[in-house]
Amino acid sequence: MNSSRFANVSPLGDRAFLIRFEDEDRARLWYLAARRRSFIGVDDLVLAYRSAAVYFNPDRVDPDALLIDLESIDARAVHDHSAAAIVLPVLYDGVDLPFAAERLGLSINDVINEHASRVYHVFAIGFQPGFPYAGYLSERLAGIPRLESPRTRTPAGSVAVAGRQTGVYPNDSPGGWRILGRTPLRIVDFDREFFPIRAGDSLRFRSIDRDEFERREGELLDPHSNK
Amino acid sequence: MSLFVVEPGIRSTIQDLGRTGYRAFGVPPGGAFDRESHALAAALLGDDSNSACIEIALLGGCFEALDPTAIALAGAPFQARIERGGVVIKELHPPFATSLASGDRIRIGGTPSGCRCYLAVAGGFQTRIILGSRSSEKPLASGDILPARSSFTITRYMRSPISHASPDKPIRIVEGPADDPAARSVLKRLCEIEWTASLDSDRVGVRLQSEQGDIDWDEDPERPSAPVAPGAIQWTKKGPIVLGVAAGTMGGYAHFAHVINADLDRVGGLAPGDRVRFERIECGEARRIDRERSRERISLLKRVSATYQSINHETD
Repeated sequence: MNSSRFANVSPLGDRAFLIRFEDEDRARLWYLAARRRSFIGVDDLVLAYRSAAVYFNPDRVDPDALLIDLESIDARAVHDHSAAAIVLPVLYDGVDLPFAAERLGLSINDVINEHASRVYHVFAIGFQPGFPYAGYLSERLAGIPRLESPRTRTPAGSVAVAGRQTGVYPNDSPGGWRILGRTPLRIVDFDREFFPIRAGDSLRFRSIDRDEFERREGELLDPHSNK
Repeated sequence: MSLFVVEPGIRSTIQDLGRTGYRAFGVPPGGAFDRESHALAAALLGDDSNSACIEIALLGGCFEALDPTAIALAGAPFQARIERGGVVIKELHPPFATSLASGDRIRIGGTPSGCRCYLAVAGGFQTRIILGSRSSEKPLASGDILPARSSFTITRYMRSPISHASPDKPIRIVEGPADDPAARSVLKRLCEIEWTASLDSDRVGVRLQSEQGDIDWDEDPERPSAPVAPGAIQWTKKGPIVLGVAAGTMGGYAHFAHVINADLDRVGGLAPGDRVRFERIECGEARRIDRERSRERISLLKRVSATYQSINHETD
């Protein structure tokens, strides 16, 4: 019986599949189950919102046989505990905080409390290495537009929002999202090949003061710590 | 034991086969954009396809051997000269392998056709490995020293074995994954028109332009980003983009067509101003062509690589 309930499967070129699901939850649970298995000839497995991509090497696996295996994954056998519950400390002093508050008709404190009160899902990692696309924001926080023209530099650690989503910039980079605050922690470590936040994890932000920010600046995120 | 960058060219980078296994963390595969030419340059020195080479795009540059170094060049027909004490001692046409004495320079000019070539050294450049690969998007700069081992080869030419179809032949694509009726009509239009690669094309993407290219397609602003791969053809208001090997792992634009793996090297060979057409085929056919090309390439590389070794044994 097919419990994974693919909504449909399309080729993503001739060396990958894009599997679509009915909603984000089904996609996430299937992905967490698939990630625990190892498939010969599968190079990469990527979750993104309501879809997952499977990149394979046709020298090592027959694509049609692989697809049958992928469809047989029982996503019911997996629970959310196979993903990490990330807690990220944030100093809410972002340059776009006043804009966001005004746009939403909230006080700055309301914006902070609202942003830090929810547990988000990490729907995907992308845009740049280690950048978590998380959401969805509550109705009250949603709807802040991207900048019309991206900033040439959004500093590493910036915690930002756009539309219904929130994310964290792992490195200094151009960026069009509105910055609410910054985390003192590093969320990627290339030298150690360490990416503590993974698609399928949950992500919560915890408001901290300047002292804690300064004390912890440069620390590497431990996905199993809730500090 | 290294090569000194006298002039870097304009978009020269170090490339091997790139990274697998890191897309889930948002790390693009990278690696050589024209994999066949890259593999050939490595094979001319008896090395496997993961050897780190200099990928040269559009304009070559000048590189000086700090020690005796076996080099090879393969790809588009760039001009290449070996200089000793400021005097040209050899003119060579890729694909070739030859040796530089200490202090010799190879000066690589432009190319009348194509876009990329690969400069290999025996054993590959020993630059830093990050996430399992030496592939880097950082352009080489004058004064860089690229570590390599000291080596020797006799000069070898070979008839260009690159089986790239003639540039007039269309690049083959498959449908999807965006599969709404609007995507299908854009795909049909893509195959009807001749396109020109624009000036701002690079390893991230090749942008296409056409005077007849105005297609009305209202973009869905709520479309969530979705995983992409090199070869993805996305529709933007400024026209289609074919994603390159350095493109991000996720894309927000409608992904309505995809270049087949066997023709991806040809996208890497598109220089600004080159004209290109597309032809749609079925995915099963694309896989069959991919397997066939893969077999041909492996047998060619084995032959090239084996002759290098036998020559070396005779001269030892």
